[in-house]
Amino acid sequence: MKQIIKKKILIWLLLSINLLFAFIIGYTIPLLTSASANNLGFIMIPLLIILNYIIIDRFHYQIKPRKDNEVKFNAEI
Amino acid sequence: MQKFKGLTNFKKPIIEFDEKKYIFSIRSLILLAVGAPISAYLIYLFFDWEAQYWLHEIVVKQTVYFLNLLFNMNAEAIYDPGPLYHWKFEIPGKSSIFFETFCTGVQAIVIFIGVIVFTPHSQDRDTKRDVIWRKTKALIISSIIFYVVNIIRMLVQIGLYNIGYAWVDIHFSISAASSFIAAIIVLLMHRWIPEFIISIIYVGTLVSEPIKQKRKETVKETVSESNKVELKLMRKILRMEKKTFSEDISSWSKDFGYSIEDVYLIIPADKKSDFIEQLMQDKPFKKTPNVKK
Repeated sequence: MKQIIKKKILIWLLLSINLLFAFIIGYTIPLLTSASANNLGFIMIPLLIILNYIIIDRFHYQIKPRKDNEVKFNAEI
Repeated sequence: MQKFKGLTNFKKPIIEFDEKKYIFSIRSLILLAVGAPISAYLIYLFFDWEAQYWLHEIVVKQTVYFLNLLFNMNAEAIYDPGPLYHWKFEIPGKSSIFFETFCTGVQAIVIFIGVIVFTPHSQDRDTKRDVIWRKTKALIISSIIFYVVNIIRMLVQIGLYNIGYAWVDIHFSISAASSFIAAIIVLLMHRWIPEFIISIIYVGTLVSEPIKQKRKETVKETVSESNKVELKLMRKILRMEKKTFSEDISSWSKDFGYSIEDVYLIIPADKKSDFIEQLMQDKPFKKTPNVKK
């Protein structure tokens, strides 16, 4: 049970950081005065998408060993 | 070409570290050596491109914010697009400091991006399972550390410049001193992606493997023809140091039923096949000898 809560908190934290990252990008662009200010978004948003994929991949990694254990448990019964 | 094929025709070494197995393909090792520097250079060129000078603005403005917060300097970030520089620091009573791509610290970040991205993955399924996550962690944390250290570096330099130090005296010395952080990042990187350091050791193992194999073949031929082999060769095969070898070799040879004469190890005729069998193993002579009771 403790492990599940720990994993849930970690997943929540990762998603929050990702949202915060998106917020910072959106908040920063209008504050910039350079001619190339919009390029910040063009660089950072693809990185945000990649990070999103990596977080999903992490969820998958965390769920998979549990599934394996469940299969083993069922087989023993 | 045939000779080269012969050199690569051996069982791949496996390095075990922290209860995990590391096996790398030769292609991935070549990719690390070639891909990491090229990609680092290309990413640097990308950020040195005028269209990416938003990075200059962010770094300059953040530095100015902390300069005013910590030293109450009344510093300003001035946007003044010219052929070389677009941003500069304006400090009251001092000449301006122009800002270039190197001042963003991006050159250190891109080197580590290149290395982290091209670090090979182990061919062992369990070891490589969470490598993407480990790489991402290493990438984000190393980039943040470099970025923060770079801002601190500029705060120290401009702070000293403001109190009267000559810019030429503090610029290069402090920039060079701050690069110590790269060593810390390498250590941190080893914690998350030991694949990088292990891949370097792996290259060494790959290079030495054909030599070891050739040495074994030489010993095999010598023992097949005569019943003796040079002790010097045996020391290299057993991977013993010169110091311990002279102390341990006599007890080792007795354990296996061999004897020593001058600079040769003598193998009795009935033990020849067993000797060759043990010699050709991955870890030669690691098997417990049969002790006659």
